[in-house]
Parts: sequence; structure tokens; C-alpha cells
Amino acid sequence: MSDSPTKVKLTAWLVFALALAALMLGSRTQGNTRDEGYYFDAAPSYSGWYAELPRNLVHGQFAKSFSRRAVDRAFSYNHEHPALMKTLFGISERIFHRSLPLLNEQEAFRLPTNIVVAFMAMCVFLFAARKGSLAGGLVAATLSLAAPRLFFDAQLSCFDAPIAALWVIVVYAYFRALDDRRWGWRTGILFGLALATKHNAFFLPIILGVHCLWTLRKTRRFPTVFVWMATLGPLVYLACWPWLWFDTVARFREYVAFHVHHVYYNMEYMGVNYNKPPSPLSFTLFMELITMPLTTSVLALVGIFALAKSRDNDARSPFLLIALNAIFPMAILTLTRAPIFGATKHFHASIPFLAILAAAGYEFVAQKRRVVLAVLVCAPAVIATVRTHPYGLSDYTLPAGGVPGAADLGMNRQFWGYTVSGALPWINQHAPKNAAIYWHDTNQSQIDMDKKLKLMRSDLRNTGLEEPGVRASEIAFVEHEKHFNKYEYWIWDFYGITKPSLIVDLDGVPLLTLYQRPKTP
Amino acid sequence: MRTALTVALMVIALFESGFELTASRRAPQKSDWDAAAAEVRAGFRPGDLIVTAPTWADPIGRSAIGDLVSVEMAGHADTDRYARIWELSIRGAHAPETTGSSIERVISTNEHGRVTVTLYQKKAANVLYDFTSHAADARIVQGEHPCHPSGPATPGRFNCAGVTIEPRTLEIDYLPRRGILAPVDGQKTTSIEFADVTLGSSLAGHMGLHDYYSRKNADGPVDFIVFIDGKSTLTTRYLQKENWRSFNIATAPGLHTVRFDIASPAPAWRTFGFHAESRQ
Repeated sequence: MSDSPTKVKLTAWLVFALALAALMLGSRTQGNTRDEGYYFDAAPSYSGWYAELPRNLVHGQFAKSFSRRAVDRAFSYNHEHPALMKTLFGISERIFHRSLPLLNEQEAFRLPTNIVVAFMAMCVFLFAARKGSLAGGLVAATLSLAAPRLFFDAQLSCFDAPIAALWVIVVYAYFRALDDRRWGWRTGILFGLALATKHNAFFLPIILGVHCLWTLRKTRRFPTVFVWMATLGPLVYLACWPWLWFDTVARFREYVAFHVHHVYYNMEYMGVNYNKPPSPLSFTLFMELITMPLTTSVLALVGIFALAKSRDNDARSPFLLIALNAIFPMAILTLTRAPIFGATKHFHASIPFLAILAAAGYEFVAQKRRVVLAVLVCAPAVIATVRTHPYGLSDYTLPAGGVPGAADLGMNRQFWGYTVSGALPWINQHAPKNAAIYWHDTNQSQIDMDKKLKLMRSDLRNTGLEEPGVRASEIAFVEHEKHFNKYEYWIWDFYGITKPSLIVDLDGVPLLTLYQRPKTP
Repeated sequence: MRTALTVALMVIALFESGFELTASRRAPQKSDWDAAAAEVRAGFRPGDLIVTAPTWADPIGRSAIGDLVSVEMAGHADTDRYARIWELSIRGAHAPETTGSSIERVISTNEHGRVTVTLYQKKAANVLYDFTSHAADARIVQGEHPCHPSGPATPGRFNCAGVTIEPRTLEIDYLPRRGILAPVDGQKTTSIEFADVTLGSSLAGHMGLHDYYSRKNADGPVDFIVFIDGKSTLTTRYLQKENWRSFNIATAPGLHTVRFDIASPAPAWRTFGFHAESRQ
């Protein structure tokens, strides 16, 4: 690396600022998702416990906060996931919406995700810039964020982007810790935060362990970072999740069992609706191929070639670390044949490492006109991410033939009931007063949030779930997933029509189809 | 080699950028669909079938021409009764309905922007009696207990002890299929009987298991028996993997009583459905 450390640091903070600005800007117009609905409810409850702490302290009842009753009251809801991000969502909402009205409620809930992912972009930049150049670092940071599906998740108050981000951050910290002892305890804390974000983090020691064993061949020195991870990690994990303070073993077992025996949802893949094990072996790799910009993937392959060819004498084996982490998040799902209900969101952590590899590819080919080439290789990813917003979850890239090509292949178009945002302007304009609406996969908490944000008229009603909900409605829609077809047929039967009033689409592929019941004469 | 790689990457990046920038413009525009719908509307005759290809574009096709697409047409059991098929297609796709051996010729093909309208002529069966459409005329017994009509607001709907039997657009193998939904209730046999049915030379139909959730939760077989004038003419065991399975029974023309018996040795989640029609 020829650039001065100060310049690199300053640029890293610039990357952080730009990434955060892009995510905050995007999240303003990003429709909310089904899982966010649950966390909109959980977050105030979790953060409320922390808000009560100083009050109880002032009143000399500090111990009250730590009673089982108080902890259970605050943290029992949605205890199948660790508490960290929900707590941060809630704290952010208290600070940036309730106390300082700088953001609307939804934006405030989402801010912690935006921040964590912006840090991820910063780490990606540092990884690439330290081994290459500032330009390479910027290419890596841009490509890590300009991946439509990761960018989509990075706007939400959910866990998938934060855990991908913390995965990267922990790997970066581990890498630094290999030759700088100060990073040992930092890695321990960051690992604990990752554990407290989502269970994916339990796999981190495996991949870092494999890398460590390889580097031991050269260094002959066991890195103390693992000691910090083994000690500080669990402590931070427990500290962030008060639910585990009581009946710890039983509750932890329940948590593990929930995820080990997780129900299979539905996911369309190559025209087949998968809702039973085993999941197809090709799923992760093929999905990554058709949802990542082709230029990024090709550049990453060039990067692998370049790094494999180079004679890097770095005893920390950075290439191995990056390559392993580009593959491993996908491999976990492939090897365990785990449910595939989350499309690509469970292996988002691969993307930043592919971006670092792509930066290595850029360094290899960019001998001249480096700025032009940097702009060119980033352009497809940036264009795809910007133009598909706010439907990034439904995007497919060139290898699939775009969104219509993926529809031809029979690939999932969405989940989480998020495309309703595209129908709200029509509904607000056309729905009769107090209209009874069947909201399909969109849950009540999403509806409540849209009403609070005045994105939806407050008089509109929710007719509830399943067949009775459709029967009772005067407006109904289906958010297209293969297994949801029956809901559209119910609408036909109960409304007596097949002509939709509105279709929300991406590149001509229907994402949501809405019907209005004809008026009876 | 680096130069070659650089050039290749630049070409890929430029091509992909162009691909992304033109993606929404490459999709058929509303005016294309409207022009295609206008052609269909001008030539449509009662009894024609309208389909859209590929299947995922079907809602868009119906948004343009859905006023001519009845619920029965959208959920057609097969194409046998239709003499002409209008196909609105994009991306060079063809609907499965237009690729069968019954297609005789293409009457016309016209392009409207990115939407192609093709009119097919085919052999058509003459349907004498549609059991799904006549569901209200049935007499239904489950075990020993008769099922009762729900009332005039929901013609064809019968309330049995534990289930409802009615004509519906079934979801079978994720496709719409108009038929009679007759969920199996425990060990009871459901008998759906139609009197004074005009039969021709055949009684044809399909059977299937409605609702992906039922198919996910169980996979027990369903026994389906067809009686004509009290005599068993078809006894078959339906397996879920058969999706929308067809049947065809040779019949003697004239007025007859037809009964469909449905039962299952593993009745959980057996939301069975069928469609039948007599043909000349």
C-alpha cells in the first residue's frame, strides 16, 4: 500500500459517511417488510427496559430492573432471535424520533442497520486498500454495497444485513489481531456483538479456525485472538441479551432448537416450490450468480486468479481468509441443506468478500486509466441497485436475463409482503371510505406503521387472514409467490372477476396484483 | 493477457450497464397490451379461450382483456371445449394450451409492439353437461348424513358435517382449475350424485389435490369412483404427485344418474377436487 495511513483513514470515514447517507436516503422510500413489523413491536419493549434503568436507579430500585419479571416483560416477545439489533432499533427510535425528532419512526428504527452496514463498507474499503490502493478500496466498498439484495436488506430494521456486516467486521478485526495485540480484545467484543445479532455468528470460529490452522504453518504462533473470542464473546453475548439471564440453559436450548428445527417456508426455485427438505444443492451458488451483477462476479474471478498467481508473503494469508469467507456463508447452507426460505439473505456475508476479490481483480487489470475503469466496473452494480429500488429483493441480474428472465426460469419474486408500498398510492386514491381491504402477506404492524407515516389513509380497515379475510374484503391483492397463487383464485371466486385494477411490476414482471370488488347493482 | 482481460471487462461492464438501463424499456408497454387487447376484443366470439404466455404475465394480460376472461375461463380444466384460442404472448413464449395436438391451424398472428396476438383454431369437444356448473343440482351425502345447500347466495355450496363442498377455482400444482372442491372428512365416503344427466359418448374430467398447504402437510391417496346408474364405471386411486389427472369414461348416450364417490384411507389434509363433463 503506497497511500499514507492518514489518507486511508480519512477515506475510510468518507466511505462510511457516503454509505450511511446512501442507506438512509434509500430507506426513506423503502417499503417495510413483514419481519420488520415484528421488530417494530419488539424494539420499544426491549429499549424500554434500558430506559427504565436510570429511572429505577434514581428511585433506589435498581435491582428491580434485574428481576426476572422485569426482564421477561421486556424481552419475552420475539425471543427466538437475540436482542442486540432490536434493542438498538428501539434506542434509535427513542433518541432520533421521540426525543430529537430528526427522523420519522421507521427511519429511526432502521438507522442502526444503516450504521452497521456503513461500518461494513468501511472495513471492506480498509481490507482492500491496505492490500492494494485507495481506488481498489473504493471499488471494493462500492461493490459491497451496490448489490441490489444486500442493499435492500441494509435499509431495513432486520438482522440479515447487520449479521453480514458484523461477519465482515469480525473477520477484519481478526485479521488485524493477527499482528496487532490491541485488536484481540476488540475482536472478542465484536464477536460477542455478532453472536447477539444472529446465530450465523456461531459459524465464525469455524472459518477463522480453518484459516488459523493454515497460518500456523508459517507463524508457529497460536493467535491469542481466539482466547478473547472465547471469553469476551460469550460475555458480551449474554450482556446484550437479558432474556438468557434466567433459565439460561433451558432458554438457550429453546433458541437453538427453534433454529435447528426451523419450519420450512416456501421458496420457488427453477419453477419448483420448495417447502420440504432437502433443499437443492445448487441453490446458493446459482442464486448468488443470478442476483449479483455479472461484472462484479467476473471481476472477483479475475481477483482470485490474480491473488492465486501473486507471491504474497504475508504470513497472515489474507487471500485465503477472503476466499474462505466468500465461499463459506454459501457453503453453510449447501452443506447443511438448511431451509431456503430467505432467498439470498442468509449468505449476504459472501458479497463483501466477493467485492474485495473484485477489487483485487481491479488492481490486476487497472494498469492505466484507473479511474475510468473503476467507474466502469462499478457502474452496472450501482445502476442495478438504484434503478430497482425499492424492489431490490425482487431483482435478478444479467446472468438470469434480468427480472423477466428469472420469471421465465421460475424464480421467487419476493417475500415478506413488502411490495404493498407500490399499491398504496392507488389504494389511497381509489378505496372507498373505511374500505375493507385484504392485505395478504402484509401484517398489521406494517399497516400500522404505514398509517403512522401517513403513507396510508387511516380509515382503511384490515379484513384479516386467509379465506374469511378475502371474502369480507372489497379490495384485495396478492403479492406474487408461487405458493400464493391460491389467494388470487379466491379473489376471482369471491369477486366474480379476473380483471385486476392495479399491477405493481418490476420490468414488466408482476409483483403485486390488486382487485376491487365490483359494486353490486 | 492483462490488456485482453481489461478489454473483456470493459465490454462486459458496458453491456451490463446498457442491459440495466434499458430493462424497463424492454418490457412491453401498456399501449402494446392495449393494442393487443383491442384486436382480441374485435374478433372475440363467445366460447373462445384467451390465454397469456408466459404464465407469469397472465395478470398483465388480464388487466388488458380481463373483462372477457370469466372465472370459469381463467380456471379452465382443459382446452377441449374451446374451438379457438387467443394467445397474448411476450418474449416469444407459447402457452401450454396452444401447443397440444388438438391445434389445427393458426388463423392469424399480429404483433403489437412487444405483444404478439395469435389466434388458433382447434378441434373442440361438444360439452353436453358440466358437472361443476351444475353443482347446485347435486345431492350430496357424506357417510349416512346428507349435506345441505348453503342458500341462494352461494349456489352449489353444500354444508356437510365437517366440511363444505362447492364449485371453486382450485389451486392444483399452482395452477387455477375450476372444479368441485370436495374435501375428504375422516373415514366417511362423500357421494355427489347428479340425476337426469345428459350423457354422450364420453364422460371426461380431471381430479387433483387443492392447496399447496394440504400437499405440504400430507400425501395420502384419494379413492375416486364414478357410478353411472348405480354401476361402477371408474375406480381409481389418485396420488398427489399426479397433479391434475385426467380421466375418460366411455358412456351410452341418454339420460342417466351419475355419482362420484370420494374417500381416503389417509384423510388428513385431503382437499380433493374434481371437474367432470359429459361430451357428445
